[in-house]
Amino acid sequence: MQQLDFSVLGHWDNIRLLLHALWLTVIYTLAGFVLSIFIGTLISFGQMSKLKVLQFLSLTYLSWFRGTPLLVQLFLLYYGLPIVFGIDTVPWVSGIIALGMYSGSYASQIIRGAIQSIDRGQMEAGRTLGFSHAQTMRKIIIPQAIVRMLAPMTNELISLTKNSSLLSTITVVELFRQTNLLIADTYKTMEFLIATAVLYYLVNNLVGFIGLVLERRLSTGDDLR
Amino acid sequence: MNQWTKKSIVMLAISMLILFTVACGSKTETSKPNAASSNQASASTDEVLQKIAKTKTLTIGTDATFKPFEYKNGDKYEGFDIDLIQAIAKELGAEKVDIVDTEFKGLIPGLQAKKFDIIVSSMYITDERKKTIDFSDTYFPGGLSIMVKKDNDSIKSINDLKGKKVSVQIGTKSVKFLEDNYKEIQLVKVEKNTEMFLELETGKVDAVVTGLPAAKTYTKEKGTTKVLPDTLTQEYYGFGIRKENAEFTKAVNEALKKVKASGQYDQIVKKWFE
Repeated sequence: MQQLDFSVLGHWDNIRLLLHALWLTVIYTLAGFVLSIFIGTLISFGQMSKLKVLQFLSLTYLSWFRGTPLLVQLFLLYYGLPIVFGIDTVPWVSGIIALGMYSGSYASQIIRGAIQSIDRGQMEAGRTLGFSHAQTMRKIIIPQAIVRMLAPMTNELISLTKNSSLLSTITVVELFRQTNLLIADTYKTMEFLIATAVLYYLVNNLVGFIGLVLERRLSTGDDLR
Repeated sequence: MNQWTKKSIVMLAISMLILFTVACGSKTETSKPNAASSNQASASTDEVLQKIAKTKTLTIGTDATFKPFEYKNGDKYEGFDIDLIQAIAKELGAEKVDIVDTEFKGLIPGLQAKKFDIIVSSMYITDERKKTIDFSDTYFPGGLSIMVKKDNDSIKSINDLKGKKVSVQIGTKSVKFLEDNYKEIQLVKVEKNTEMFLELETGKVDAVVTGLPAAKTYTKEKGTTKVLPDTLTQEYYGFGIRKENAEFTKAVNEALKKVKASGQYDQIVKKWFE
């Protein structure tokens, strides 16, 4: 067995490169997540809409982006657009858009599930009080649904953070790519992989923790505990 | 859902689509006139050569995880390929070399998508790859090579290995190549590169058959071995270039010849392999 030599992690230069890459990973993931919520909302309302066209469009989007791997989508977007249509693409922008579109398909189902899980009676009660459909949605249904979205959305953000390592295939230097670059230079494979795993672990657990705190803050009913 | 909500959702969806299209489309527009106008501007009609004349930059694509050919030391790109392409770029009239680092599998799509002008990433010239892209003349021989102890003068070629023990790495090309072509050689199969070298160092085998660069790098770092001059398989590294840039390919080959003639090439080989 080879001896592990963690002294490479003591070099400030290596640490600096890893932390910088981690920062980029966080930025790309968060930007992708914001886009994902936006797209997810559109798709979920499209799916619930009574207009057949919207339903069809949403379902098509959903089946495509949920049914193909993120890696393929990244390649199609980043390399496909220039090759097929002559459209220039910027690596990190393509990366964020691909993350957002991919994750948006999952987010849409979280949002739809949460909204449809709210008891029908809530809508009826709202309408009885004289609220319009939209008002009831905004003031009664959505706030309750958001609480139910928190746990699965936290999940989605965590999995997106891990998926962002795929951006390394389209020339974006994020945490995983930086790790590989450092490994190639120093031949210290395990040391850097472990360090990187720890960094992903810490970030994702921070996300998980924030999710839990938000859930506690926002939840009103304790009856099921 | 009432009509206003529906309408606003439709509007939002449409505006997003337009936004994406515009965001992507605007870039095409800026790039197209460039190509058109420069047709008359400079002497060459080759897009890449024109770009170099205009911007004095050569953009290369590389997977910087292959020491000693290309790797990243801190923030800096280093290696044999990097030094060589810098010398070639100078011959081509480019003062600067921009480096796009990506995974190996992204190199050919990246070239086609014009993310860079040329692939500089120790890529073997293969018939498969030639279907999609063109290659420059070879700039370095790869292929399988034989490495023996420095003081071993009895082994001069593959024929001297008959009946001898040779260490190879499981899962590599060398195993299949030797099994198919030289059945008389006893193969000692090991898991790792480093074990292979250890077998040789400790005298358990007479030779190691592995890729030429790996053998050369080890020889350089340890100084206890030597690499036989003739490689067993003919495989060569070349720079990948888009098929439509035939004139640029020619220019690169010219530049490579000049770099070789001026002695710079030998210096770079010496720096990285000897």
